[in-house]
Amino acid sequence: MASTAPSLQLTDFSAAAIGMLAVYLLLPKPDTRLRLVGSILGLCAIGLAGWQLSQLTDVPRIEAILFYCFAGLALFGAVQLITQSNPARGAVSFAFVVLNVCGIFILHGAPFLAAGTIIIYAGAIVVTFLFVIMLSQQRGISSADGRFREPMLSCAAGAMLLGTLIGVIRGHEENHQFDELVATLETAAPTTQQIQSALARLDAPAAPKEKLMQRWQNMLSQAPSGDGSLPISELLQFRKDVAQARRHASDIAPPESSILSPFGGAVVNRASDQRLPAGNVAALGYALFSDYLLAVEMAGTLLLVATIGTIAIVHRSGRRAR
Amino acid sequence: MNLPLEYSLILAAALFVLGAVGFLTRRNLITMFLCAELMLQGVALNFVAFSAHYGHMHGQVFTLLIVTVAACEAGIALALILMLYRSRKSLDVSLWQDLRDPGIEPTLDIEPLPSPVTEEPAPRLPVAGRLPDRALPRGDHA
Repeated sequence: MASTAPSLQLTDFSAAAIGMLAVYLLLPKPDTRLRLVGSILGLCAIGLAGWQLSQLTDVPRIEAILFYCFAGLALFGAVQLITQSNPARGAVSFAFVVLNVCGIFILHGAPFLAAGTIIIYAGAIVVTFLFVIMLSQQRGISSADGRFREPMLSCAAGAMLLGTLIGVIRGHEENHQFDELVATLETAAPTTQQIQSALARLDAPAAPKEKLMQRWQNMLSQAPSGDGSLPISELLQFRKDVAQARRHASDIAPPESSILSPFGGAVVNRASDQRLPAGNVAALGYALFSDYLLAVEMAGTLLLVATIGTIAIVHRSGRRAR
Repeated sequence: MNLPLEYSLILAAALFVLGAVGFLTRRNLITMFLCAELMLQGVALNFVAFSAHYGHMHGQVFTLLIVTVAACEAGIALALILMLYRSRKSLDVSLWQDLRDPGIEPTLDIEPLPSPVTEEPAPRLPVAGRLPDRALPRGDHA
Protein backbone atom coordinates (compact mmCIF):
# COMPACT_ATOMS: atom_id res chain seq x y z
CA MET A 1 0.00 0.00 0.00
CA ALA A 2 1.26 3.49 -0.65
CA SER A 3 2.95 4.51 2.54
CA THR A 4 1.44 7.76 3.70
CA ALA A 5 3.67 7.95 6.77
CA PRO A 6 7.34 8.11 5.74
CA SER A 7 9.67 5.99 7.81
CA LEU A 8 12.45 7.86 9.56
CA GLN A 9 15.77 6.15 9.78
CA LEU A 10 18.69 6.87 12.04
CA THR A 11 20.97 7.61 9.12
CA ASP A 12 18.88 10.64 8.26
CA PHE A 13 19.98 12.27 11.47
CA SER A 14 23.66 11.54 11.02
CA ALA A 15 24.55 14.34 8.63
CA ALA A 16 22.37 16.78 10.57
CA ALA A 17 23.90 15.82 13.90
CA ILE A 18 27.48 16.10 12.65
CA GLY A 19 26.69 19.40 10.96
CA MET A 20 25.14 20.90 14.05
CA LEU A 21 28.03 19.71 16.19
CA ALA A 22 30.35 21.46 13.76
CA VAL A 23 28.25 24.63 14.00
CA TYR A 24 28.33 24.43 17.78
CA LEU A 25 32.12 24.15 17.73
CA LEU A 26 32.47 26.93 15.18
CA LEU A 27 30.25 29.48 16.90
CA PRO A 28 32.16 32.51 18.16
CA LYS A 29 33.06 32.19 21.79
CA PRO A 30 35.91 33.30 24.01
CA ASP A 31 37.59 29.89 23.81
CA THR A 32 38.68 29.36 20.21
CA ARG A 33 40.63 26.15 20.43
CA LEU A 34 38.15 23.85 18.72
CA ARG A 35 37.56 25.85 15.56
CA LEU A 36 39.71 23.60 13.38
CA VAL A 37 37.88 20.53 14.62
CA GLY A 38 34.60 22.28 13.87
CA SER A 39 35.68 23.17 10.34
CA ILE A 40 36.71 19.60 9.56
CA LEU A 41 33.50 18.24 11.05
CA GLY A 42 31.51 20.70 8.97
CA LEU A 43 33.18 19.60 5.75
CA CYS A 44 32.58 15.97 6.72
CA ALA A 45 28.91 16.73 7.33
CA ILE A 46 28.51 18.38 3.93
CA GLY A 47 30.31 15.47 2.26
CA LEU A 48 28.17 12.93 4.09
CA ALA A 49 24.98 14.71 3.15
CA GLY A 50 26.10 14.84 -0.49
CA TRP A 51 26.89 11.16 -0.47
CA GLN A 52 23.53 10.30 1.05
CA LEU A 53 21.82 12.42 -1.58
CA SER A 54 23.60 10.65 -4.39
CA GLN A 55 22.19 7.35 -3.17
CA LEU A 56 18.65 8.59 -3.58
CA THR A 57 18.06 8.85 -7.28
CA ASP A 58 20.14 8.90 -10.42
CA VAL A 59 20.63 12.29 -11.96
CA PRO A 60 22.14 13.28 -15.30
CA ARG A 61 25.82 13.75 -14.72
CA ILE A 62 26.44 17.41 -15.48
CA GLU A 63 23.43 18.53 -13.50
CA ALA A 64 24.51 16.47 -10.53
CA ILE A 65 27.97 18.04 -10.58
CA LEU A 66 26.52 21.53 -10.85
CA PHE A 67 24.03 20.88 -8.10
CA TYR A 68 26.67 19.53 -5.72
CA CYS A 69 28.93 22.51 -6.39
CA PHE A 70 26.19 25.03 -5.79
CA ALA A 71 24.76 23.21 -2.79
CA GLY A 72 28.14 22.67 -1.13
CA LEU A 73 29.14 26.29 -1.60
CA ALA A 74 25.73 27.50 -0.38
CA LEU A 75 26.02 25.43 2.79
CA PHE A 76 29.58 26.62 3.28
CA GLY A 77 28.48 30.23 2.92
CA ALA A 78 25.57 29.68 5.31
CA VAL A 79 27.84 28.22 8.00
CA GLN A 80 30.21 31.13 7.42
CA LEU A 81 27.35 33.54 7.95
CA ILE A 82 26.20 32.09 11.23
CA THR A 83 29.64 31.53 12.73
CA GLN A 84 31.46 34.61 11.50
CA SER A 85 32.19 37.14 14.20
CA ASN A 86 32.64 40.04 11.80
CA PRO A 87 29.16 41.16 10.64
CA ALA A 88 30.46 42.72 7.45
CA ARG A 89 31.99 39.40 6.43
CA GLY A 90 28.71 37.77 7.39
CA ALA A 91 26.87 40.04 4.95
CA VAL A 92 29.28 39.11 2.17
CA SER A 93 28.83 35.42 3.02
CA PHE A 94 25.10 35.93 2.71
CA ALA A 95 25.58 37.42 -0.75
CA PHE A 96 27.61 34.31 -1.61
CA VAL A 97 24.77 32.07 -0.43
CA VAL A 98 22.32 34.04 -2.58
CA LEU A 99 24.56 33.60 -5.62
CA ASN A 100 24.66 29.85 -5.17
CA VAL A 101 20.94 29.53 -4.52
CA CYS A 102 20.32 31.48 -7.71
CA GLY A 103 22.53 29.00 -9.51
CA ILE A 104 20.14 26.27 -8.40
CA PHE A 105 17.23 28.44 -9.53
CA ILE A 106 18.74 28.35 -13.02
CA LEU A 107 19.05 24.56 -12.79
CA HIS A 108 15.32 24.47 -12.06
CA GLY A 109 14.48 26.51 -15.10
CA ALA A 110 13.90 29.90 -13.47
CA PRO A 111 16.46 32.27 -15.01
CA PHE A 112 14.39 35.40 -14.49
CA LEU A 113 14.03 34.69 -10.79
CA ALA A 114 17.74 33.97 -10.54
CA ALA A 115 18.67 37.30 -12.07
CA GLY A 116 16.02 39.17 -10.10
CA THR A 117 17.04 37.63 -6.79
CA ILE A 118 20.70 38.42 -7.36
CA ILE A 119 19.90 42.00 -8.25
CA ILE A 120 17.54 42.60 -5.35
CA TYR A 121 19.13 40.50 -2.63
CA ALA A 122 22.86 40.52 -3.27
CA GLY A 123 22.71 43.87 -4.95
CA ALA A 124 20.40 45.99 -2.85
CA ILE A 125 19.61 44.32 0.46
CA VAL A 126 23.16 43.28 1.30
CA VAL A 127 24.44 46.72 0.37
CA THR A 128 21.87 48.27 2.70
CA PHE A 129 23.02 45.96 5.45
CA LEU A 130 26.60 47.00 4.87
CA PHE A 131 25.61 50.66 5.05
CA VAL A 132 23.91 50.10 8.38
CA ILE A 133 26.93 48.21 9.68
CA MET A 134 29.13 51.08 8.61
CA LEU A 135 26.85 53.53 10.37
CA SER A 136 26.66 51.66 13.62
CA GLN A 137 29.78 49.59 14.17
CA GLN A 138 32.68 51.76 13.31
CA ARG A 139 35.07 50.25 15.80
CA GLY A 140 35.12 46.82 14.20
CA ILE A 141 34.06 43.71 16.03
CA SER A 142 32.23 44.49 19.25
CA SER A 143 32.06 42.24 22.25
CA ALA A 144 28.58 41.18 21.20
CA ASP A 145 29.97 39.43 18.14
CA GLY A 146 32.32 37.26 20.08
CA ARG A 147 29.66 35.52 22.09
CA PHE A 148 26.59 33.44 21.56
CA ARG A 149 23.31 32.77 23.38
CA GLU A 150 22.10 29.24 24.18
CA PRO A 151 24.25 27.38 21.66
CA MET A 152 23.60 23.90 23.00
CA LEU A 153 19.83 24.16 22.87
CA SER A 154 19.84 25.85 19.48
CA CYS A 155 22.17 23.32 17.89
CA ALA A 156 20.30 20.38 19.40
CA ALA A 157 16.97 21.75 18.21
CA GLY A 158 18.47 22.46 14.80
CA ALA A 159 19.85 18.93 14.53
CA MET A 160 16.48 17.47 15.46
CA LEU A 161 14.61 19.63 12.99
CA LEU A 162 17.04 19.08 10.13
CA GLY A 163 17.19 15.34 10.73
CA THR A 164 13.42 15.10 10.75
CA LEU A 165 13.05 17.14 7.58
CA ILE A 166 15.69 15.09 5.78
CA GLY A 167 14.08 11.89 6.99
CA VAL A 168 10.64 12.92 5.85
CA ILE A 169 11.85 14.03 2.42
CA ARG A 170 13.89 10.88 1.88
CA GLY A 171 11.20 8.59 3.20
CA HIS A 172 8.73 10.18 0.86
CA GLU A 173 10.93 9.51 -2.13
CA GLU A 174 11.81 5.95 -1.28
CA ASN A 175 8.80 4.12 -2.48
CA HIS A 176 9.64 0.53 -3.12
CA GLN A 177 6.51 -0.13 -5.08
CA PHE A 178 8.17 0.21 -8.45
CA ASP A 179 11.25 -1.81 -7.55
CA GLU A 180 10.05 -5.06 -9.01
CA LEU A 181 8.95 -3.45 -12.26
CA VAL A 182 12.23 -1.58 -12.58
CA ALA A 183 14.21 -4.74 -11.86
CA THR A 184 12.25 -6.64 -14.52
CA LEU A 185 12.93 -3.92 -17.05
CA GLU A 186 16.62 -3.79 -16.17
CA THR A 187 17.23 -7.45 -17.01
CA ALA A 188 18.97 -8.32 -20.24
CA ALA A 189 16.02 -9.42 -22.35
CA PRO A 190 12.73 -9.06 -20.58
CA THR A 191 9.84 -10.79 -22.23
CA THR A 192 6.44 -9.28 -22.52
CA GLN A 193 5.04 -11.88 -20.13
CA GLN A 194 7.48 -10.85 -17.42
CA ILE A 195 6.71 -7.18 -17.84
CA GLN A 196 2.99 -7.88 -17.97
CA SER A 197 3.03 -9.84 -14.74
CA ALA A 198 5.23 -7.25 -13.03
CA LEU A 199 2.80 -4.54 -14.11
CA ALA A 200 -0.12 -6.54 -12.80
CA ARG A 201 1.59 -6.94 -9.43
CA LEU A 202 2.43 -3.23 -9.21
CA ASP A 203 1.14 -1.86 -5.96
CA ALA A 204 1.15 1.83 -6.83
CA PRO A 205 -1.55 4.47 -6.46
CA ALA A 206 -4.29 4.20 -9.04
CA ALA A 207 -3.54 7.13 -11.36
CA PRO A 208 0.08 6.40 -12.29
CA LYS A 209 -0.63 2.70 -12.53
CA GLU A 210 -3.51 3.39 -14.91
CA LYS A 211 -1.30 5.52 -17.09
CA LEU A 212 1.44 2.91 -17.19
CA MET A 213 -1.00 0.18 -18.12
CA GLN A 214 -2.41 2.38 -20.85
CA ARG A 215 1.05 3.03 -22.20
CA TRP A 216 1.86 -0.65 -22.08
CA GLN A 217 -1.29 -1.56 -23.96
CA ASN A 218 -0.51 1.04 -26.62
CA MET A 219 2.96 -0.34 -27.04
CA LEU A 220 1.73 -3.90 -27.29
CA SER A 221 -0.84 -3.01 -29.89
CA GLN A 222 1.68 -1.19 -32.04
CA ALA A 223 4.50 -3.71 -31.69
CA PRO A 224 5.25 -6.23 -34.43
CA SER A 225 3.44 -9.32 -33.30
CA GLY A 226 4.67 -12.85 -33.04
CA ASP A 227 8.18 -12.68 -31.66
CA GLY A 228 7.16 -11.94 -28.11
CA SER A 229 9.71 -9.21 -27.49
CA LEU A 230 9.65 -5.50 -28.06
CA PRO A 231 12.18 -3.37 -29.92
CA ILE A 232 14.88 -1.81 -27.81
CA SER A 233 13.78 1.75 -28.42
CA GLU A 234 10.30 1.00 -27.16
CA LEU A 235 11.72 -0.71 -24.10
CA LEU A 236 13.95 2.26 -23.32
CA GLN A 237 11.05 4.62 -23.73
CA PHE A 238 8.94 2.49 -21.43
CA ARG A 239 11.74 2.42 -18.90
CA LYS A 240 11.85 6.21 -18.95
CA ASP A 241 8.10 6.31 -18.49
CA VAL A 242 8.37 4.01 -15.50
CA ALA A 243 11.09 6.23 -13.99
CA GLN A 244 8.90 9.27 -14.52
CA ALA A 245 5.92 7.55 -12.93
CA ARG A 246 8.08 6.50 -10.00
CA ARG A 247 9.24 10.04 -9.46
CA HIS A 248 5.75 11.45 -9.52
CA ALA A 249 4.03 8.55 -7.78
CA SER A 250 3.78 10.28 -4.44
CA ASP A 251 2.60 13.56 -5.87
CA ILE A 252 -0.58 14.84 -4.43
CA ALA A 253 -2.72 15.78 -7.37
CA PRO A 254 -5.02 18.75 -6.88
CA PRO A 255 -8.66 17.75 -6.63
CA GLU A 256 -10.55 17.89 -9.87
CA SER A 257 -12.98 20.52 -8.71
CA SER A 258 -10.42 23.10 -7.63
CA ILE A 259 -9.56 25.85 -10.02
CA LEU A 260 -5.84 26.55 -10.09
CA SER A 261 -6.22 29.29 -12.59
CA PRO A 262 -9.38 31.25 -13.36
CA PHE A 263 -8.36 31.13 -16.97
CA GLY A 264 -8.25 27.37 -16.89
CA GLY A 265 -5.55 24.93 -17.84
CA ALA A 266 -1.87 24.75 -17.04
CA VAL A 267 -0.42 28.21 -16.84
CA VAL A 268 3.12 27.45 -17.86
CA ASN A 269 2.66 27.12 -21.56
CA ARG A 270 -0.08 29.62 -22.15
CA ALA A 271 2.00 32.56 -23.24
CA SER A 272 4.26 30.67 -25.58
CA ASP A 273 4.71 27.06 -26.45
CA GLN A 274 8.28 26.97 -25.29
CA ARG A 275 9.31 24.80 -22.43
CA LEU A 276 11.24 26.15 -19.52
CA PRO A 277 13.59 27.94 -19.30
CA ALA A 278 13.21 29.72 -22.62
CA GLY A 279 9.56 30.52 -22.00
CA ASN A 280 10.09 31.42 -18.38
CA VAL A 281 9.71 35.17 -18.63
CA ALA A 282 6.65 34.94 -20.85
CA ALA A 283 4.97 32.36 -18.65
CA LEU A 284 5.82 34.24 -15.48
CA GLY A 285 4.53 37.48 -16.91
CA TYR A 286 1.36 35.82 -18.01
CA ALA A 287 0.79 34.26 -14.60
CA LEU A 288 1.58 37.48 -12.77
CA PHE A 289 -0.73 39.66 -14.74
CA SER A 290 -3.64 37.27 -15.10
CA ASP A 291 -3.84 35.12 -12.01
CA TYR A 292 -1.92 37.24 -9.56
CA LEU A 293 -2.78 40.75 -10.63
CA LEU A 294 -4.13 41.66 -7.21
CA ALA A 295 -0.99 40.32 -5.57
CA VAL A 296 1.21 42.41 -7.85
CA GLU A 297 -0.72 45.56 -7.09
CA MET A 298 -0.61 44.86 -3.39
CA ALA A 299 3.11 44.19 -3.55
CA GLY A 300 3.57 47.62 -5.07
CA THR A 301 1.45 49.18 -2.36
CA LEU A 302 3.42 47.26 0.25
CA LEU A 303 6.67 48.64 -1.10
CA LEU A 304 5.28 52.17 -0.96
CA VAL A 305 4.04 51.74 2.60
CA ALA A 306 7.34 50.20 3.68
CA THR A 307 9.29 53.10 2.22
CA ILE A 308 7.10 55.65 3.97
CA GLY A 309 7.32 53.65 7.19
CA THR A 310 11.10 53.44 7.05
CA ILE A 311 11.45 57.15 6.57
CA ALA A 312 8.92 57.83 9.31
CA ILE A 313 10.76 55.59 11.77
CA VAL A 314 14.20 56.99 11.22
CA HIS A 315 13.34 60.62 10.76
CA ARG A 316 14.52 62.71 13.62
CA SER A 317 12.48 65.83 13.95
CA GLY A 318 14.28 68.80 15.45
CA ARG A 319 11.71 69.39 18.15
CA ARG A 320 11.85 65.92 19.67
CA ALA A 321 13.77 65.81 22.94
CA ARG A 322 16.68 63.35 22.96
CA MET B 1 14.49 20.13 -15.85
CA ASN B 2 15.92 16.88 -14.70
CA LEU B 3 17.00 17.82 -11.20
CA PRO B 4 15.07 15.73 -8.70
CA LEU B 5 12.80 17.47 -6.28
CA GLU B 6 14.21 16.10 -3.05
CA TYR B 7 17.72 17.39 -3.73
CA SER B 8 16.54 20.97 -3.57
CA LEU B 9 14.15 20.26 -0.73
CA ILE B 10 16.91 18.90 1.44
CA LEU B 11 19.17 21.82 0.63
CA ALA B 12 16.33 24.24 1.38
CA ALA B 13 15.69 22.51 4.70
CA ALA B 14 19.38 22.76 5.57
CA LEU B 15 19.49 26.46 4.73
CA PHE B 16 16.34 27.10 6.76
CA VAL B 17 17.60 25.25 9.82
CA LEU B 18 21.00 26.93 9.63
CA GLY B 19 19.27 30.29 9.48
CA ALA B 20 17.11 29.38 12.46
CA VAL B 21 20.12 28.24 14.51
CA GLY B 22 22.00 31.41 13.64
CA PHE B 23 19.04 33.58 14.54
CA LEU B 24 18.71 31.96 17.95
CA THR B 25 22.42 31.98 18.68
CA ARG B 26 23.92 35.26 17.64
CA ARG B 27 23.83 38.48 19.56
CA ASN B 28 24.48 41.08 16.94
CA LEU B 29 21.18 42.46 15.66
CA ILE B 30 22.35 42.68 12.08
CA THR B 31 23.68 39.13 12.03
CA MET B 32 20.39 37.94 13.49
CA PHE B 33 18.51 39.65 10.73
CA LEU B 34 20.81 38.22 8.07
CA CYS B 35 20.02 34.76 9.43
CA ALA B 36 16.31 35.52 9.05
CA GLU B 37 17.00 36.41 5.42
CA LEU B 38 18.82 33.10 5.08
CA MET B 39 15.64 31.35 6.20
CA LEU B 40 13.74 33.21 3.50
CA GLN B 41 16.26 32.02 0.92
CA GLY B 42 15.64 28.42 1.93
CA VAL B 43 11.90 28.87 1.55
CA ALA B 44 12.34 30.53 -1.84
CA LEU B 45 14.40 27.59 -3.05
CA ASN B 46 11.65 25.28 -1.84
CA PHE B 47 9.04 27.16 -3.84
CA VAL B 48 11.09 27.20 -7.03
CA ALA B 49 11.79 23.47 -6.74
CA PHE B 50 8.11 22.68 -6.44
CA SER B 51 7.28 25.00 -9.29
CA ALA B 52 9.70 23.15 -11.54
CA HIS B 53 8.39 19.80 -10.33
CA TYR B 54 4.75 20.50 -11.06
CA GLY B 55 5.38 22.55 -14.17
CA HIS B 56 3.36 25.63 -13.33
CA MET B 57 4.32 29.13 -12.36
CA HIS B 58 2.67 29.49 -8.97
CA GLY B 59 5.84 28.72 -7.04
CA GLN B 60 7.89 31.23 -8.97
CA VAL B 61 5.28 33.94 -8.52
CA PHE B 62 5.34 33.35 -4.80
CA THR B 63 9.11 33.50 -4.79
CA LEU B 64 8.92 36.88 -6.48
CA LEU B 65 6.53 38.02 -3.77
CA ILE B 66 8.89 36.63 -1.12
CA VAL B 67 11.71 38.75 -2.55
CA THR B 68 9.48 41.82 -2.54
CA VAL B 69 8.38 41.30 1.04
CA ALA B 70 11.96 40.60 2.09
CA ALA B 71 13.05 43.91 0.63
CA CYS B 72 10.33 45.80 2.52
CA GLU B 73 11.12 43.89 5.69
CA ALA B 74 14.83 44.60 5.35
CA GLY B 75 14.17 48.31 5.04
CA ILE B 76 11.91 48.53 8.05
CA ALA B 77 14.01 46.18 10.19
CA LEU B 78 17.16 48.14 9.47
CA ALA B 79 15.36 51.36 10.38
CA LEU B 80 14.31 49.81 13.68
CA ILE B 81 17.83 48.51 14.29
CA LEU B 82 19.19 52.00 13.73
CA MET B 83 16.73 53.37 16.28
CA LEU B 84 17.74 50.71 18.79
CA TYR B 85 21.37 51.54 18.17
CA ARG B 86 20.74 55.21 18.78
CA SER B 87 19.13 54.36 22.07
CA ARG B 88 21.93 52.25 23.56
CA LYS B 89 24.88 52.90 21.24
CA SER B 90 25.39 49.19 20.65
CA LEU B 91 24.04 46.44 18.41
CA ASP B 92 24.04 43.87 21.19
CA VAL B 93 20.63 42.29 21.67
CA SER B 94 21.43 41.23 25.22
CA LEU B 95 21.34 44.87 26.27
CA TRP B 96 17.59 44.58 25.85
CA GLN B 97 17.22 41.51 27.99
CA ASP B 98 15.08 43.37 30.48
CA LEU B 99 12.26 42.40 28.16
CA ARG B 100 12.63 38.74 29.11
CA ASP B 101 10.14 36.68 31.11
CA PRO B 102 10.41 36.94 34.90
CA GLY B 103 11.65 33.41 35.55
CA ILE B 104 14.54 33.37 33.08
CA GLU B 105 18.08 34.12 34.13
CA PRO B 106 19.91 36.98 32.52
CA THR B 107 22.77 36.46 30.10
CA LEU B 108 25.97 37.53 31.78
CA ASP B 109 29.32 37.88 30.07
CA ILE B 110 31.66 36.25 32.52
CA GLU B 111 34.58 35.17 30.37
CA PRO B 112 36.52 37.96 28.78
CA LEU B 113 37.19 37.77 25.08
CA PRO B 114 40.67 36.42 24.28
CA SER B 115 42.21 39.31 22.36
CA PRO B 116 41.11 42.72 23.50
CA VAL B 117 41.48 45.54 21.06
CA THR B 118 44.80 47.20 21.92
CA GLU B 119 45.56 50.62 20.64
CA GLU B 120 48.98 50.92 19.12
CA PRO B 121 50.96 53.58 20.93
CA ALA B 122 51.69 56.64 18.91
CA PRO B 123 55.17 56.41 17.32
CA ARG B 124 57.92 58.39 18.92
CA LEU B 125 60.11 59.92 16.30
CA PRO B 126 63.71 60.85 16.94
CA VAL B 127 64.75 64.42 16.51
CA ALA B 128 65.83 65.04 12.94
CA GLY B 129 68.17 67.57 11.52
CA ARG B 130 70.96 69.52 13.15
CA LEU B 131 70.70 70.19 16.78
CA PRO B 132 71.09 73.87 17.72
CA ASP B 133 74.39 75.06 19.28
CA ARG B 134 73.07 76.33 22.55
CA ALA B 135 71.63 73.88 25.06
CA LEU B 136 67.97 73.03 24.83
CA PRO B 137 65.73 73.39 27.86
CA ARG B 138 65.46 70.20 29.87
CA GLY B 139 62.82 67.67 28.93
CA ASP B 140 62.87 68.11 25.21
CA HIS B 141 65.17 65.22 24.35
CA ALA B 142 63.55 62.45 22.35
